[in-house]
Amino acid sequence: MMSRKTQDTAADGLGLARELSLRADRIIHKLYSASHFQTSDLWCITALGGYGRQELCPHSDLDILFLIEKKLPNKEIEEGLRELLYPLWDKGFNASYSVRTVKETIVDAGKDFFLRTSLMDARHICGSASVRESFSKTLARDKTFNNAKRFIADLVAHTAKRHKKYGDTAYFLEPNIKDGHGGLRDYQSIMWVLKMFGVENNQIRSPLSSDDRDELVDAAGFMVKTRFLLHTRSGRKTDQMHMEFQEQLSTDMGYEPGPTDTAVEMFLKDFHTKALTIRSSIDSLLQYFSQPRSFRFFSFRKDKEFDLSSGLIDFTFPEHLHKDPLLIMKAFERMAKRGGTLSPMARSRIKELLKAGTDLNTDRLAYRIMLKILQSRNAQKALTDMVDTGVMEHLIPEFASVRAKTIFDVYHTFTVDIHSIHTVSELYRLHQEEDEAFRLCRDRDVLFFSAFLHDIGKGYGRPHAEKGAEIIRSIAERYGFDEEQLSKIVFLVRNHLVMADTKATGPGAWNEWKASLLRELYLRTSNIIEKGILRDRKNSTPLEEKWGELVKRSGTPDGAHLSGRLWALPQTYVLASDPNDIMRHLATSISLKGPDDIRMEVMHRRNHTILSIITRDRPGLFSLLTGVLALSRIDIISAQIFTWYDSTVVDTFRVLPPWQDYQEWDKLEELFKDCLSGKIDFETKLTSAQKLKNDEDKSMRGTGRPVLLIDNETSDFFTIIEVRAHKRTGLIHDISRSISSSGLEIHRAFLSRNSDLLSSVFYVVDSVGEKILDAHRQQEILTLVGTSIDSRA
Amino acid sequence: MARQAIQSADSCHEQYKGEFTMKKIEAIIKPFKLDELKETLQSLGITGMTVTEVRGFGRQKGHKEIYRGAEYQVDFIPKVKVEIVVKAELVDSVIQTIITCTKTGKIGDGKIFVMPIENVIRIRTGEQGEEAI
Repeated sequence: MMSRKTQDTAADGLGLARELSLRADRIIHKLYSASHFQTSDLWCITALGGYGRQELCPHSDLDILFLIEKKLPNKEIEEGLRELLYPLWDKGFNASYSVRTVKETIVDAGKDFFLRTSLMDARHICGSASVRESFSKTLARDKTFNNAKRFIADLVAHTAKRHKKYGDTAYFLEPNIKDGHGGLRDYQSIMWVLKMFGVENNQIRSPLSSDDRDELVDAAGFMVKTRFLLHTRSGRKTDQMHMEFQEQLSTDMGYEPGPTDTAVEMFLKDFHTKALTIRSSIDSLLQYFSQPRSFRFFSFRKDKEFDLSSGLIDFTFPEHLHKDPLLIMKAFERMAKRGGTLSPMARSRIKELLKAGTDLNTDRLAYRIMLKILQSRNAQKALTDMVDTGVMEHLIPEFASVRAKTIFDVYHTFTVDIHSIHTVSELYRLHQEEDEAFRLCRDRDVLFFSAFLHDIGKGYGRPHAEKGAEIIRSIAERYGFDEEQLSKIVFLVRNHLVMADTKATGPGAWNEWKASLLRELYLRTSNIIEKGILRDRKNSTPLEEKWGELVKRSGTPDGAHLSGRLWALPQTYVLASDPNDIMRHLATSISLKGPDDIRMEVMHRRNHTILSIITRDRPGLFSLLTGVLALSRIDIISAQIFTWYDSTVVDTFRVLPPWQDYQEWDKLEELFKDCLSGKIDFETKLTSAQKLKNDEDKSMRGTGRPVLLIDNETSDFFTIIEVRAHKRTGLIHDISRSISSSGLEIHRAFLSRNSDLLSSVFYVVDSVGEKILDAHRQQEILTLVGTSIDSRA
Repeated sequence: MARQAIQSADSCHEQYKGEFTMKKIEAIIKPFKLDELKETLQSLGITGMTVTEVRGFGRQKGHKEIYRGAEYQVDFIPKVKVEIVVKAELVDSVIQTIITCTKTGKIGDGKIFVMPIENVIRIRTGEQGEEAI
């Protein structure tokens, strides 16, 4: 859907770029006339690449090819170049050049893919007409240059490489307009492909409809304008939209804050939508043209519904599609179950039908298929295509509010729609890898449906969980869920543990604790609350099994002395831990000599180390432990802490030592002991050590807002404090210290990290063991913790 | 061009003139110009300098003016870095000298950087400040 506004923007973008290109042309014409080039008819000056396309941004490269018919003396060449290039450089153009004969150009193009593609956009600026003729003719005749098959193979390889390089999530937060997914290179590639295969000069019919073409040109124009403004704003050749520029860019582009979105969020929404348009097209076209010619025109792999001859999914009878629109859903179902991509023609057809107002959902059957798609192996690709073609919004109009929606805080990497799709595929993966948890969940339709739409409320402002619960109820009713299922769905969305979908918010290692937290989620789906009152005995199998195992082991002569301690173990600890570990921890706990005694277990894994610390609880313990780790420059990746009912504390940290082959674990244990006993005043030590680290961390910090929440709903017994912020040395220590100094006790903590974003959850109670319900007190706590995030006093 | 260079160097000096009496001059030049520069600087009374072989490129991406070339690559070109510390009042003439000596008018002539120096110490004797230059 192209609004008037975005059409204007596109025209603007291309217009500005053309203006700049014409200016460069004028300068070159002038310089040429004044130079000694004029006198000889030997030179032809040609623009290549972006300059050839007349798409110049203020700091773009100016690619110039000096064409000559035959080789000239070096002195003459140098003189000519100086007359033309030096003034261009001095005027601030990033001119890069080469001098070649026509023949040499063709030969080099055969060896250098980048030169080859830049020649496809060659544009004559000035100079000898005869050289120009010669060049055009030779280029048109050359078999290697015009070998479409080889071209597409090279293009596919280069595109894959580029997408891999620029596909990291860092590039989602700060997209690279030129080389990133759905950026200008992708658009150019589409144009090259169409040219190469004769679509441009009508040798063959275009697989894209004219609407598709318009949409692409619109998207490209938007990108060009963004790039133009980015160059202007940054004052240099940067194609990556760093966070620091995003707000300014959105204003420059003419965005204003909306009812539920900031100007930046609205700008990014358009950006991501258009990037997806371009990306989907290039993927589809590359596959399409990679197929051997014959496959494209002679169908031999088709049934009455789909034609797969081209290797892509096509409709056998596209002209009848409007009579049986459910085929569209079936196409997506096929994609989801067996893989594959829609052909460009199929995509066009689908979009056309939607535009014409066809209803895809006859007798709610589309909903049935949707549920199947959600639970399939290749759900991600199918769902993404459904979003891009507009089918998703057609089926679920509420989805429009989360389409390409960016949440502008420090933690969210993906847009909400992509995030939702990832959640579903993560869930599928979990099913594959941790079957046990899944056995508990009887109603997978409910689970996948809720997972997919859990953030549906995000488009309507904060707080989104409550709003989402309302919305999803009406969507779910349309899907034909019964009353019991409806209440489960609403419950899940209203209470969706934010941490549980952390992995899908931004990728990173899947940690033990997340898996255990997810198990808790499933348990709660089946009505077990977390302090262990088992309402529904049928669903307590894994817990019961573990308890059974523990009881058995403590029944043996070796384990007998431990049996008296089993009462001390919290349910979540048992659920999250291996019985071997539990027995060992029990034994260690019994052997502790006094409140200052501390034991540390070290276990090495391939790329990190696990430290388990067992000691007696005391106020501020967690903050002390994390402080000692910070002092030793040990990087905490994740942490799980449990406080037993007998005040034993078992803290498990996954860490990275400051250097490889770190052997000072014994010293670390000593350090813990000394700090606990008070022998070392570690607070002083930490402050002085921190001073040095501060400057280094400051330069690495991003500009996103940290997230800081108090949650009294999720747990019946604890107040949950949730903090998400950019990591820095000692951050965890500072946060936990501020919590402790507020008079709170940390009973449980879960930490994890995705690259440099730390996410932490603290289960706390006050000094008498109660939740913190007083709003005033809550505000004090938030302020104190907030301050601790920002600085080290 | 030279005048412009000196003028802009001047305005930079104005800022610091009251505070720093010694300056460091770093010049990145074409290697074949080194000998000539050394001799001319010596005749100016500059008695010490440090020279390093370095590699670099500027706007023209390291392309020499050769035929053909791969225009999508950026190459490092060998250069020489000359570092001298002088009293502030000598800066202008040193800069002028460097430019006169090393300029060829062709791309790649190089750049001159001027920085304030807080202190200079002679290791053997412990002398400090301008005496130690």
